Amino acid sequence: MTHRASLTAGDPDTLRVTLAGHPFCAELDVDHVHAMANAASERQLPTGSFLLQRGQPADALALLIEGDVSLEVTEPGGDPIVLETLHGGDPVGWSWLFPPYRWLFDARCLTPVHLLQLDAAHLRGLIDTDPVFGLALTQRIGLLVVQRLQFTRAQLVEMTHHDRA
Amino acid sequence: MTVLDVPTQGTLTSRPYQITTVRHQTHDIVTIDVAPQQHPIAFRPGQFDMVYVYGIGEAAISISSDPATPGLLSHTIRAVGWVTRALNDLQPGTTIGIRGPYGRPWPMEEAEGKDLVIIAGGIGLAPVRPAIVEALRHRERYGRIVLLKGARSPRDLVFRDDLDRWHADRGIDVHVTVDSAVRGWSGRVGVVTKLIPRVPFDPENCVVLTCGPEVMMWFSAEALLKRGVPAERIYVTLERNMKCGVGTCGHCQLGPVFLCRDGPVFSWPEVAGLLDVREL
Repeated sequence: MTHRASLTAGDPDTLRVTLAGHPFCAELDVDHVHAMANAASERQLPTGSFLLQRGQPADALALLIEGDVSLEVTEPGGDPIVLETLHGGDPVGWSWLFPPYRWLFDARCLTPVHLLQLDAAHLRGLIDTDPVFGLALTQRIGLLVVQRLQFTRAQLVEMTHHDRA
Repeated sequence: MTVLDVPTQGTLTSRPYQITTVRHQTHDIVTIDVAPQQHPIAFRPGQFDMVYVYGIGEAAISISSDPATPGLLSHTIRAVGWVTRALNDLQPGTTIGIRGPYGRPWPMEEAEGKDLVIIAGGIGLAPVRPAIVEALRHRERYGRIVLLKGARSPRDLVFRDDLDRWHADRGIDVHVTVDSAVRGWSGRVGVVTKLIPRVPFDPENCVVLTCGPEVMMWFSAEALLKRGVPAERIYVTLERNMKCGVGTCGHCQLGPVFLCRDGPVFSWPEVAGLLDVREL
């Protein structure tokens, strides 16, 4: 991640509870949540800071707890084009799971953001060593990708559809 | 309500109305307020009129005003064809013809005692606006009232004054999102259907009114069903080239139903299978 926001080391038990309560972890095996918690830290980001930036190493999965984030792309000399906004309860980023592990878009904080950051190398290591955990996590990321793809398709249709009078 | 319960109101003869106000909602959408030159005719939320520009033609337009004041009738119109372009160019003082109201209204009585969820895409806020106004007038009859409003971009948002007022009103939970935005927009960006899983309402005890592009309503219904809303509690309003308004000409036929006569409001099970048929 490219920001230099405050990092809260956090009590491991608190992190586990916070992680277990995040929608991304709903119905995930408790042992898997504990394993993920070992890769987690809490972060607070101020308005206007970047959670991730295009071209930078995709080194973490972010789980938003509170706050709004804008997923956007910027052309040189132009205003950022906002593709989608993400909010408390949303995960941010899947490029950490797939080579070349680099972000393709910017994610900018529209408000103060409180999030859980999970170290990507740690997660990939868990996936390699525990196939059951690996399947559970990659299925969640897969579902996330499918949902975002469906939303994007719907967005495309709506943007090109000239609705009725 | 069944199709047979709905009286065929209005006749095939239009009555003269004078335009009192023209409000420009967006670059291609206006709201025209009209006053009858004869006695006012009551309507129910969700019904539509056939609006006649003399010498040019008629178009089916949903009524967007308050049902409690039938003497001041509003129609919100996007300029897409000959008639609607002509309507967009009219000035106060012009006389137009109106016949109606027609069609099956929103099931406001069925929603009483339940959460009322309203999903509107683009100009789709116009046909549900009378339902919102009526529900807020009788706020005690409903549980939560939730409005999910989507638009292509901030410049395409209609009824901005209403949205601001409703947003400040504790009686209704308003969520607005746009498909595309640039600098200056601080709200949500994304499709309106994305809001459905996360907005607070009781899926097992709600009635949903949906209006917008068909594809938006289809995606909304899918998301609502996934959340646990019974299919028969999801209502959509449809338009397919209505001409006569009374179910005789067949222009708006969708398989076994005529949208003008049997709709325009339908429960999801009544039309879900029809919308999946490409040839209809």
